Amino acid sequence: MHPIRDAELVFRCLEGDTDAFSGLVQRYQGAVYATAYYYAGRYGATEDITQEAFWTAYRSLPHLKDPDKFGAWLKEVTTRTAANWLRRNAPRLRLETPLPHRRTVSIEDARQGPKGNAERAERYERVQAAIDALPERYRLPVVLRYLQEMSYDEISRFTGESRDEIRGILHRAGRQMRDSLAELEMTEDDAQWRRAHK
Amino acid sequence: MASCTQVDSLLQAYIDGELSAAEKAILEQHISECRSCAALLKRQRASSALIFEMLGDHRLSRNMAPEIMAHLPEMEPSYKRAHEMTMRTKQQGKRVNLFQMLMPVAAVSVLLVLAFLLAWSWPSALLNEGRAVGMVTHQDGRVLRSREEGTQRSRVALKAVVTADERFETADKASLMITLAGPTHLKADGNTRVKVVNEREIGVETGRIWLSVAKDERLFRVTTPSGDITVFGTVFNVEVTADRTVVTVESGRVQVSNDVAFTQLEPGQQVSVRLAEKPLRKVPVDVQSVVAWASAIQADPEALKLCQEMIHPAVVKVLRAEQAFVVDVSQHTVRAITFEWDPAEYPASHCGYHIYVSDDHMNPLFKGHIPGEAFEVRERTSFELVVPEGISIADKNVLHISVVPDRDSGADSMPFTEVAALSL
Repeated sequence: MHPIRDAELVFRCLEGDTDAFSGLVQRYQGAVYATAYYYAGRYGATEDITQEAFWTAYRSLPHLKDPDKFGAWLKEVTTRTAANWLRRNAPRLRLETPLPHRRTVSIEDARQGPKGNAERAERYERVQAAIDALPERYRLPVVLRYLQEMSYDEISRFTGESRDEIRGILHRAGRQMRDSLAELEMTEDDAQWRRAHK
Repeated sequence: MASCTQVDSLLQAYIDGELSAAEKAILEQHISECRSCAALLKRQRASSALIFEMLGDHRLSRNMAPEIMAHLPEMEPSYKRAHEMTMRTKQQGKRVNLFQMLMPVAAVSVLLVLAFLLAWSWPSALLNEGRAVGMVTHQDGRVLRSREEGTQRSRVALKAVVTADERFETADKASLMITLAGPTHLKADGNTRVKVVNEREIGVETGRIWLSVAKDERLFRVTTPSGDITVFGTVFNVEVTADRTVVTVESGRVQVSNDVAFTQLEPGQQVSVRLAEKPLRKVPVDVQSVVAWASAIQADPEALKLCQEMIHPAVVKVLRAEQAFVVDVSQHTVRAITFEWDPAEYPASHCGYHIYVSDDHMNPLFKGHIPGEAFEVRERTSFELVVPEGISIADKNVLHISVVPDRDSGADSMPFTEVAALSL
């Protein structure tokens, strides 16, 4: 899928080629972003953590033992960065009500009007609740899959689990969420389906 | 035919487009014949679409690489070297701990240079524009003035008004005294070329000058080809030759620097500065013999009086930058913050300081105040600011401490030399 192996990009970075790191950023930014979102999205800290994680990764790249496992190592770095961020901000966050979701208002929102927005916000809450109800081990792969539309191979490279494990996790998570979201009585709207799979 | 359970386990991968061709064929065959599995697929597809749609709003839809690459930090040294460095740091840490009973968590970096830099780089253009900055209060022999190098020169007479950016040149055995707003007195010996940039900056190209600088909030600066002299208020003598500048201090303190080094002179000390020379060596000298030439030059009383009536200092209020300290507290519980200053005489009307303490992210933690009286007690050289009750500083990596003078209460000198946090 990727013409250049991660390990080769890592070696080039270690030799001082910063363009190679740019390649790694482009390859993994979706995964790091989704991980940051998973941990701290409700506090609006996704982008900050994404940047910080890549900076930390670059700084400590010489400590990476197996360059072939850059993805899994980067996931650890991101998780640690997010945990540090949460710990640092814990006193402030305790006083702050987490926002259900933060995003800019789209043209579609405007068209739907306040009522449509409220319905949409409620549906978002339901989806978030369904994800939160999953066993912890399933959650990050689910977010990687649904937030960034990563393939099973890409998820596997980032989480360090095998492709079969990821497929099993997403299967069980999908079945559980199908049941918990069933009450929403969705109709299989073709337009919606196409949008999700663009 | 595959069982319904087997097919159920393929549904998600089928929706995600991750099935092999064979698996896909099996599933599609089963779905076409089993209505309950077809219904399950429909529901699972709908729930997947909903999750995609809802999370899709939060998807990263732009390339973050440029902003990440724009602020890339330094890469740490290789593992082995990093390991050695860690070991060294650890051993150092041990030694320090043995010495320090109270274990003040070390203050990491002091940014007091800020204040100095701001005063240093105060735009001189603001003071210039042909503005009257002083007056000739003594003149003997042939003295010429000019605006720019090479342009027309004219003879200088007593009581001539001196404007900013004017150059003066004394002939052999001539002498000149200029009184600048302040008043600052400049005496120039024969064969001297000086430029009055403004009332707080003099350039000396060659020759010998003596300066009595009026105390002011602004720095006074003398530039020479071999080095620069910076003072607040003091009396000193400068001799400039083609390749060296000799500075002798009569009273006060003077900072002398060349392109690579700097030193501070006290009364009775002399330094000779050349470009690229370091360190700068101070030597004790008999000041009176060095400045004897200058005592012979005395201001004309009438000119001096006129000068004081006519020439006023530019109304420039200098607001010096605040001092900022960054203290590494490494998650220790901080009980108090100490501020130290050098023992010295501070004026009785010394101002107090507001202290603003923020965390890693510059979120405010608390605010304190050091009263001006703290500086009046000569023996006292530190102040302990106790963290107020109800404020807990336990999980911070660094503290940002800003020191802002409470200018209304007196003169500020920004005296702090060290700031440290005391842990429990």
